Amino acid sequence: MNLTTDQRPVAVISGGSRGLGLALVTDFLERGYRVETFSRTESAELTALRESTASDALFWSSVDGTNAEAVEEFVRAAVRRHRRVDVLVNNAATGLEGLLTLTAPTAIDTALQTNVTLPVLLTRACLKPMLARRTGVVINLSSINALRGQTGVAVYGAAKAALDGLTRGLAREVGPAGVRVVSVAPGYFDSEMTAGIGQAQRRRIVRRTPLGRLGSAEDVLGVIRFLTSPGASFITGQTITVDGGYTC
Amino acid sequence: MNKRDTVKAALLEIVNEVAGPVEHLDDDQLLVDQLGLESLHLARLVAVLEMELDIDPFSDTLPITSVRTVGDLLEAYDPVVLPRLGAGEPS
Repeated sequence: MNLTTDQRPVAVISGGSRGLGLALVTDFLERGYRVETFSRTESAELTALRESTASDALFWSSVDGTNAEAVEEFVRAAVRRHRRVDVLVNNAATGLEGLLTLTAPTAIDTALQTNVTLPVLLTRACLKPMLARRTGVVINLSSINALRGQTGVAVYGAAKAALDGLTRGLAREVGPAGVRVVSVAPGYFDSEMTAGIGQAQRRRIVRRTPLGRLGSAEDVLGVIRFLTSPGASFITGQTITVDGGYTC
Repeated sequence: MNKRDTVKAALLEIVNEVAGPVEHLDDDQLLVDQLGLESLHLARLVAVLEMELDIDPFSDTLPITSVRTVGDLLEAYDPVVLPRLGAGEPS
């Protein structure tokens, strides 16, 4: 297939080798997108997905998200290949838990690079083909920790709040050029990042959640599916919380 | 199409959208004050040209604010190398 005349939309998804990122990659592929994703290393699940997917539909690169030049080159290569980016999902993130005064500055720096600098640079690079074509959607994966205070995740919450600020500012900046920017803030859902939560805390979260359960990747995917559909064409600059009512 | 023609064609397309039909651009025309471009139009123009030419002259040291005229824009993408004073003369 001649890629330059290929009309399939293109999604760039950061951190697509595991967890929600891998679920996003799979979902976008099933919806007919070509997908560009990167992670530091390739997981066995992503290897299997690549082997069962057409070679002109899924592209993965090994990229260190804290290396700005490598991130920009990843997007440049994607744009050269497809001549378009329709959707960017800033999914890659690193968790950081612990009281602030007991957290090493180097760990804070790494978390901020991955959770703030990386999505800002990725967005800057992906906005160019979106502006050129006057269409596109940027989805920033935020967190309820950006909306509500929580002991032990102050830096993580600050980073996610920064993403929400990016969403609102950019929505105004690029809206006139036809590009939408939206944050999705999941609550507690079953993932590697919440795997360390003990049973007692898990029960407490469920008790405080009006819908009576932890979320699932499918709950988040459904919202992202909607936000990237024509039905959401008048939504920009918002943070959509997906937490079963935990923060209401 | 050479680099300057590509830049001029992309600029003309955006100016036509913003200011209505324009057939010709002069090098000394002001992008903002005369052609009506706003910063987002310039951002779009730079994005289009990066896709066409695979370069962004404003990503490093050259500030976009230094570009005021059509000629400045052409020069940013395709600098004219002026002969050095005295070049060619016997030393």
